[in-house]
Amino acid sequence: MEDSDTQLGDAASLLARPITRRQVLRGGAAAGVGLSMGSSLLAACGGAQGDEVAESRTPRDTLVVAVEGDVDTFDPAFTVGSKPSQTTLQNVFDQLTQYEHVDKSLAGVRFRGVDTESVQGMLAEKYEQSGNSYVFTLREGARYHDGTPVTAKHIVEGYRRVFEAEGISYFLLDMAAVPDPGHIRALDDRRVEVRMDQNNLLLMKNNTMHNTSAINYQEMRKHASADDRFATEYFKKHVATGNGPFAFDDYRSGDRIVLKANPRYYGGKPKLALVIQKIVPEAAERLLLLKRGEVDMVMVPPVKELDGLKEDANLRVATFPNPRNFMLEMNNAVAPFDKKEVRQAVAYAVPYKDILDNVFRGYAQPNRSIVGNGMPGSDFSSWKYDTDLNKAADRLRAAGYPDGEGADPVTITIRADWEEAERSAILIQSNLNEIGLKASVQKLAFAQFNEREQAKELQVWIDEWLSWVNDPWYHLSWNVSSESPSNYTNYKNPRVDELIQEWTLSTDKQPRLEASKEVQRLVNEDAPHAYLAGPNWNVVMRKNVRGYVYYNDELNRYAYMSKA
Amino acid sequence: MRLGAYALRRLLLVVPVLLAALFLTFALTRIVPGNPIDRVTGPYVSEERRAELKEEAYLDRPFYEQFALYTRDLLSGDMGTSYTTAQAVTKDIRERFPASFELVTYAMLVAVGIAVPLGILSALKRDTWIDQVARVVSVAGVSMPIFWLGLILLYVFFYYLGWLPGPVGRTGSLVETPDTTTGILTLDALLKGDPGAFWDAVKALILPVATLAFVAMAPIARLTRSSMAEVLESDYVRTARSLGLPARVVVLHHGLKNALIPILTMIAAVYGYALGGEVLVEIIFAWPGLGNYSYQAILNSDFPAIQGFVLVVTLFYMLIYLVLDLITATLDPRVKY
Repeated sequence: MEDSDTQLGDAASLLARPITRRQVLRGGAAAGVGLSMGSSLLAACGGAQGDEVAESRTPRDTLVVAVEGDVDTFDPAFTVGSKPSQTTLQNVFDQLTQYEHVDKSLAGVRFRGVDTESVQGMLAEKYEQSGNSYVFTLREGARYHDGTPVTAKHIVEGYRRVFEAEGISYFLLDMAAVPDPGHIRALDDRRVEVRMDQNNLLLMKNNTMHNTSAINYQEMRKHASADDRFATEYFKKHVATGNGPFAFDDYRSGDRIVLKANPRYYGGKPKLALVIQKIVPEAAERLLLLKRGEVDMVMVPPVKELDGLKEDANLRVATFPNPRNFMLEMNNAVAPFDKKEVRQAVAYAVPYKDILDNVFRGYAQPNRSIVGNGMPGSDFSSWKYDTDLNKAADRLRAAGYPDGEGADPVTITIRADWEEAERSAILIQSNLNEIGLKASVQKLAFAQFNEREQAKELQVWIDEWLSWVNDPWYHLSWNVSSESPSNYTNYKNPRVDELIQEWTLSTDKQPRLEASKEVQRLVNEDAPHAYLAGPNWNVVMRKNVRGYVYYNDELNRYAYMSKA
Repeated sequence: MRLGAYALRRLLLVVPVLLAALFLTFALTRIVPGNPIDRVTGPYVSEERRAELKEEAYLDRPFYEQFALYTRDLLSGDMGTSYTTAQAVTKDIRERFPASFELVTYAMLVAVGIAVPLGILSALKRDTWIDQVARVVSVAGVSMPIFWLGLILLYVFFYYLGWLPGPVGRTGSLVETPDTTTGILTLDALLKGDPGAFWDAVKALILPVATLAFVAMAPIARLTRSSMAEVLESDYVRTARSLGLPARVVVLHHGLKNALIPILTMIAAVYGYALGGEVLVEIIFAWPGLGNYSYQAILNSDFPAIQGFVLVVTLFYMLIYLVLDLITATLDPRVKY
């Protein structure tokens, strides 16, 4: 792995001085030998020093963001995949409530983020709880971009659509004990009641997501048909008229999504008049555009370039530690990982420090629990698997596989387009071979990987999970409940299931957090995963960009941003 | 009239070839593991709902049934809906084909415009410096990875010199994408009489066209040279020369005309291949064309998009060969049809 780093370094150094024919050829040779992907030379350019452009070339009231991919759907009832889609909806629509902004400090990094325990009004100027119900009072003056006032009926019909369009987003309400649209009603023009079957703390968190955006039912009816009552076909590629700080302006497939400021926004007109989300699939090219001042901000920058970018006086690398969990997942139903001792052996064998230092280069924090650092209730105290190959060999022996003899070969599966996973897999493979497990690494294309993971067929693989909702029981429900569709490891511990059942919807705030620690301890003991790292969320922007706020869903909120 | 009948016959042949290509693509996409539903649903959907979605997309049915249903829909002009872009594949292709077509066509014009004269010159001036230059260019074009060349051009002309736009697709970030008539931006700009838009479109095209053209011209130049060299040594050219015909007439009329058929075949092959094969150029330059589209479709097992792409590229390829055959038939009286 070090070899390719050196070659990248060579190519990068090309940029530090005036170009000559010889240098181009030499850099090219290095690139040609060392780079398996076309983007890598430009990635190296991104990390270079010198020849930086001091002035942004974009107007002061326009933010150009190089985003990583195209839109899959603009229908809030269906969005789970594309971040540019979700970001667009998040900025075009307001939700009833939103988290309070606070200065945070996590893993030694200070940043502007949100307090996920403090929910404030957004479209609703206030909310009150009474028993199992919340009543939201809409603020006066809240309007859709076409001038239509946002009424309680709009909100109720918006929720109805999320449920009845048979999309994906309803799960956020369903898991918070709001199983159908019958639980949501308009009390009058401005008040909406949401009734839970059981009072819980999840609803107010889940309800901040863009998925609950209320499409104007009158607009929906214009595009509906007998076969498509909720106009799902139309809204896949058309952004509904929103009610948030930005209005949708233009979308060109494969090219850009443009938002313009809503001058009548109740929160005041945003400082940015225009936001252009330019689709640039290759990470290295996004960086190249940023360094030339053609864009103001890039999403998903390659980790290996961040140190180099920090040296560019015109750029700012913002890094946000968060509860994301980058994990080695072991299928509890597939040999040899059906034995707890083997999973524990692997957990002991993982070179955690090497992964943090060499793969994530410091842009990650250690993770020692299924509930990552930064999520309420996160508890690393039951972790015992610091790298120790002797202990790993002992556990393997206890499993009945001394020196790996008799154990099935191990195939670590990774997604083909994920460099951090590949490099981690190679480091892990090496240690597994050392304790006697015959390990190999298999790369699968995105769709194949997804299919096999969701079918729970993989033996051992690397994936990551970041919960949209910063709540330990939300997170545990998805990851370790035996009934969860996303418990891909087939992990089953009746006590864990019992605790999830008991506490997920509990309203006892502190005991609820304490109880989550018991699950974390049980899961650590059973070791269905090895927690490789907690990768930071990174954004690189021009120095004059201000106001980035980190939200746990990692979607940009342009309303708070500006340019100096 | 006979030529017209021949063209019609050839056009009819397109149908079974398209069906065969479609069948192969259909089979391959279904054999390889992976399906689009899992990506669309993400991790939050129950097995039951996922099964329902597969049922709606006919993915729970046997392969032959899926193929029959797809073909039925295709006959009514419905290529299905892409799982990656969530819109009709026909619309996706309509939006993206002009971008690829414009890029590839200009690249071919440049490649042919340079490679054919270079090949002729190097055949005429064998073993001189011109021939050596042509040889180096050809070898470089064949052996140089296209992504590497694209990156170097970007580095020099965008990043270092700042003369040309970076990898921002067909228009810069701040240039509004113009409403289009044909989808070919240079042509649309000319039709509207908008020199500014024309120049923007040309600037965006220069680097990707140069990248593609450099690689495309290598085989054309090599074939032109060998084909011309062979013709120039033939008896009839020697006779023409001995009769005192001017060199221009000998080379262009008697030489090139007879050497042209294999050259045209090569041009057609490269042109067809380029439309389906310029994926890397589109990725490097963030070009919103069919290459990028197919790349994303393949990564995501987006079956309808892959099938639509293969169908269009096959059709394009066949039309190019049809045109080539018609030209060949016109040029070469020995060709029977």
